[in-house]
Amino acid sequence: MGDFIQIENLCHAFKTPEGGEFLALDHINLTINKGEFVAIIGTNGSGKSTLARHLNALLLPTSGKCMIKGLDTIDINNLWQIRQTVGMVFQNPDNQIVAAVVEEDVAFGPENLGIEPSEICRRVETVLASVGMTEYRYHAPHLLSGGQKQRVGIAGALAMHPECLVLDEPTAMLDPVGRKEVLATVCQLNKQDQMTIVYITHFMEEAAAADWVVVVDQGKVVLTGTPDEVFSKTEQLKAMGLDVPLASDLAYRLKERGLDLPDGIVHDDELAVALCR
Amino acid sequence: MSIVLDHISYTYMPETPYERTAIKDITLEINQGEFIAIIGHTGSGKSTLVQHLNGLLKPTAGSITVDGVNINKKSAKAKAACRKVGMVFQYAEHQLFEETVYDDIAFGPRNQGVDEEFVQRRVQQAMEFVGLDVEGFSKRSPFTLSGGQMRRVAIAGVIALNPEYLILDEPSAGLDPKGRDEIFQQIMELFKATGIAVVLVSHNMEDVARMATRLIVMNHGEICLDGTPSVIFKNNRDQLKAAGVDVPNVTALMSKLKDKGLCVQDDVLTVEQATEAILAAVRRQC
Repeated sequence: MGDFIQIENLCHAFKTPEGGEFLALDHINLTINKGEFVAIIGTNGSGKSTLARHLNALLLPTSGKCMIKGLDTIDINNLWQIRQTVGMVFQNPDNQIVAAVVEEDVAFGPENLGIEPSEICRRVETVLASVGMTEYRYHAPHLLSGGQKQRVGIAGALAMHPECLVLDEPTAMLDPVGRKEVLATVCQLNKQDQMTIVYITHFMEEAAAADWVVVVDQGKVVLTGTPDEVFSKTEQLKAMGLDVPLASDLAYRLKERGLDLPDGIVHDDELAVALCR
Repeated sequence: MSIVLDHISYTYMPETPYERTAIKDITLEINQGEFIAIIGHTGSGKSTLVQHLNGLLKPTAGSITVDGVNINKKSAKAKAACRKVGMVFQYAEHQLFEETVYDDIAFGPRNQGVDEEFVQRRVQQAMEFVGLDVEGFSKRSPFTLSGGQMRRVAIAGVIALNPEYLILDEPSAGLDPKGRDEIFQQIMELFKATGIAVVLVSHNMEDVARMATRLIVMNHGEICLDGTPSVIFKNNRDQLKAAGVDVPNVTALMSKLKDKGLCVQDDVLTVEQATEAILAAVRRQC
């Protein structure tokens, strides 16, 4: 099934305090198929988060269209179906904590969907294990560390069994180990359950794990491609204030110094193979 | 001139079912002129520890002095001592509350009772420090800015207080790579120019390796390692792993290259060093 998410000429204008308009999204065209893992990168203020909020109708287009499974987000009658289809994990987990105990917080979503209690228990158990928070199930979420809260937030979104998960910098507050765990969880959801993933990040190594990378700059999509296509454009990305994965960066520097290396190095292993021929 | 923590412990919600000891028996001296990085897995007690440094949390046991003044006793002296310690929180943008960016940054200095002209100078300096255009941003509402811009406003609000000890709890989380580099460059310049103490809580091992003069590793509420980054990242890899943290990515990559048979030095900490080390190794092989 193609065209799971279809965005056509999407514009979003914010009003500025001076009474003018600021075009946060400027004629975005983007198609995401079911089961794809798409990473969105871009500088702060480039429009990434605004774009993400269109995917489950938290924001509505000023002009253009945003269709989720053929449902137009602008039609209020589609709202609940869209929100059940697309789960959202925000930048800041504090904004999405609702209960006083971790497991109740995770159960909040499925409870609201009217799911059987026994099934809710099963889901809570599974999702807490998948984010590595089982031992904290009886803790108070507001007293957890920033990274732990983030993992509870992800568990809460997963417990609703959405078809698509939109994650807005989910690992910004995590330690390196937690970051790897979350990324592994997301990859597993994508590969095993064919969950469509839209993953916003500032960590280029994480973006490199996606099927596609979309680069957003000043409200426009400026670059799309596979990670090795996108990250071979080191100079263009750096000029935008972005970065490339470590292996790409090293390969670029080594090539500049006259070393003969192939294009499209993104992962550590690829660099190792190229250097140790 | 230093902050001294003497055997401090802190327990959240004591004598309730949720009781949890976040830090245990920590003794630590933070001196002016030091750039200290604190690392550890999420929940290891880093944030709890730094919130003691300006009296936001009072230790369950032990005491804290700033320049010799016990800050946990109620007194005018203790209050003045706490003011020397500037704190940029995790999610610093939550600190914002004023109607304009200018007023938000000016809030701290105004509270110190200095005249408006002086406030203006401080605000401008602070905005320049974090790379916010004074003309363009002064009159804007902080709540219409992007996450990264809000972070900068919040950091500027603390810089405007001219702290002698600057505590930063993951200041770069959520910032784009360029923003991260800019903020740290400014912090390094401030550190070098003034010799204040900087305490940085971070998950970014690259940043830590590049900037810190001293590295503290926390695990289960205790300090498990304390030394220079180069020594710790070279000699204590097993303890780092046990503490749930990692060596910088570049160090890990170099180890991988070595495992695959390229004879490189694997104790490098920056991309620049790595480039040189790889070139040297490749040339040796040819």
